[in-house]
Amino acid sequence: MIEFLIYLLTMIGIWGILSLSLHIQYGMTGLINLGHVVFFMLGAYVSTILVMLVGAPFIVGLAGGMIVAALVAVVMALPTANLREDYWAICTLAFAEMVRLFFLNQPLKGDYMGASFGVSGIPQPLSALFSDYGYNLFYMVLVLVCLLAAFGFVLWLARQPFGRALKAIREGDEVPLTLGKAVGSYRIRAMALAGLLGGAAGSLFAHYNAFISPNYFLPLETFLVWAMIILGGAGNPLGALAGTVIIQLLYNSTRFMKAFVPLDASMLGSLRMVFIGVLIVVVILYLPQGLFPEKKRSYARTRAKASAD
Amino acid sequence: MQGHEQKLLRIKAIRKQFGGVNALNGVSMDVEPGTVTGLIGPNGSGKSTLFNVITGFVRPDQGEAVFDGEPLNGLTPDRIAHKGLFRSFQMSLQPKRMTVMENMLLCPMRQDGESLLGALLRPGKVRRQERANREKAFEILETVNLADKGDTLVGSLSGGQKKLLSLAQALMIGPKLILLDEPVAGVNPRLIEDIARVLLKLKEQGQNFLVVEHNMKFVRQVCDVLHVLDVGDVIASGPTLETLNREEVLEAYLAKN
Repeated sequence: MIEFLIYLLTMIGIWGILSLSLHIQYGMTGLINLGHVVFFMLGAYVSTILVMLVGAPFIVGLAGGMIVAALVAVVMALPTANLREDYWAICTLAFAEMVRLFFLNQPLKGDYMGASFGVSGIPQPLSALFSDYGYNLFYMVLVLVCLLAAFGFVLWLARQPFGRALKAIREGDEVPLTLGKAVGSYRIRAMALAGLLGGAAGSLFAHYNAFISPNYFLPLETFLVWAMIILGGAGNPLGALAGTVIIQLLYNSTRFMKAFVPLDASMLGSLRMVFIGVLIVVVILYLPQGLFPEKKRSYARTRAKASAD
Repeated sequence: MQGHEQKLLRIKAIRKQFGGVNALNGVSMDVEPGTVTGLIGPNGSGKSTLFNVITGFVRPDQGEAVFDGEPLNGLTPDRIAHKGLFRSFQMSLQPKRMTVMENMLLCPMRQDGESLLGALLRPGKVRRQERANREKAFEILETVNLADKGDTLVGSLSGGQKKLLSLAQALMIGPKLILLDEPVAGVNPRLIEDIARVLLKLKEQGQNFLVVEHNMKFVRQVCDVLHVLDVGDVIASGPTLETLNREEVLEAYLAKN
């Protein structure tokens, strides 16, 4: 049971970083990225390639995965200047699939590495120092520290004038443009930051799971991350985390439901997507702002303080 | 002649077609410094298109706008804003999920915290700027009677309050020229008086305005000079009262109404 909890918390940590990445794009900037999984995929593959084929240490793999994902995010942001947002959303979906199909068809080394075989035996950083059990605990702590850093970063970002401009862009280009904000540049930078976080999550996942395959990066994954932030509350990073916890719990609940529900495992596996779907419908109907609605920052206090001086 | 009589905004033979329809038919007009200039005309006469061309949201087919001696052609809206030209936006566009104060703090140009590196490397400077901007914003909100609305979401303001916010945002920037798009449409009469008063006071302090408005009482009250647009042409220009009484102006309005 403890082992399972460690596994669950690790997964929550990794997907938490991923949903914070989507929070930057959608919650803060209003960008509807339906190919969000591409950052996760690039983080995983680039980190794996750097560590296994180039022989770089894990930290370099992580950094490389983050940077490549960020660069691709910048490329994805470029057409926002010319495409309406719904068309852009469709393009992102297609783009992520293109990258996945590339990895599905591209052998990395020899006959059985890469392409549809995936990559197995991805080294785990510092694994020599720990026992199996201790290692999982260590990795969980590593992931949760990364999650905490990402969360702190997102909170900090929202308080900067940069984050404020993103928030204005979320509701349309006209006003920020009129106020002299170079909207295109803001969107590019926001996407790059989201790419960094998404890439980090992918790298952490690859080295935890020790195996990756193109099948892990289907559009379904993007959908799950969307479910997380819509459930939790778009616009509130705490909501992104709460949504991650709920979806991960549901997603991993089937192994316990076997005991109570007289259905075979494959049926249960499909049923959990139905659960998640129903949950989203209910939340949209009754809690349109999610479990944790966006909080507004109060300035009245600062005023009171200033006049008291 | 130049230098002495430099126009603040000079619009030269601007032409714009939308799918074969002439929205602007070679419009020329000037805005003199130290004035409130009015731009009136029936619906569909091209006022909005002209505003959009001046602020860079629409590219003219021909002609150019020169602001403070610099041609604006080909500049993007954010660049034009940096030149000191501010346009009040339609209230439906104001970010509703941001508070009044957040909207105010959005205004100052070139904030250090708008760059990620700036925010990261110079947090002290960013904080000082924020504090100064906040103080300024509170003062301005005071003058437009929105002082107690700082933490209210713009989405829950009344129409009149949104117009006041727009004006407050213009003051926050302190541009050379403020383009006001229907500043009193749909505003109750008492608030109209307030807005007119604020406008005239700012004019005394040297603020320049170009105002599009349908409310003739308001136009008579605040505008020194008028340009009248009809079906893409300037049909009359001159001092407000004189221009309003011209035959062709009356005709344009009566025929459309």
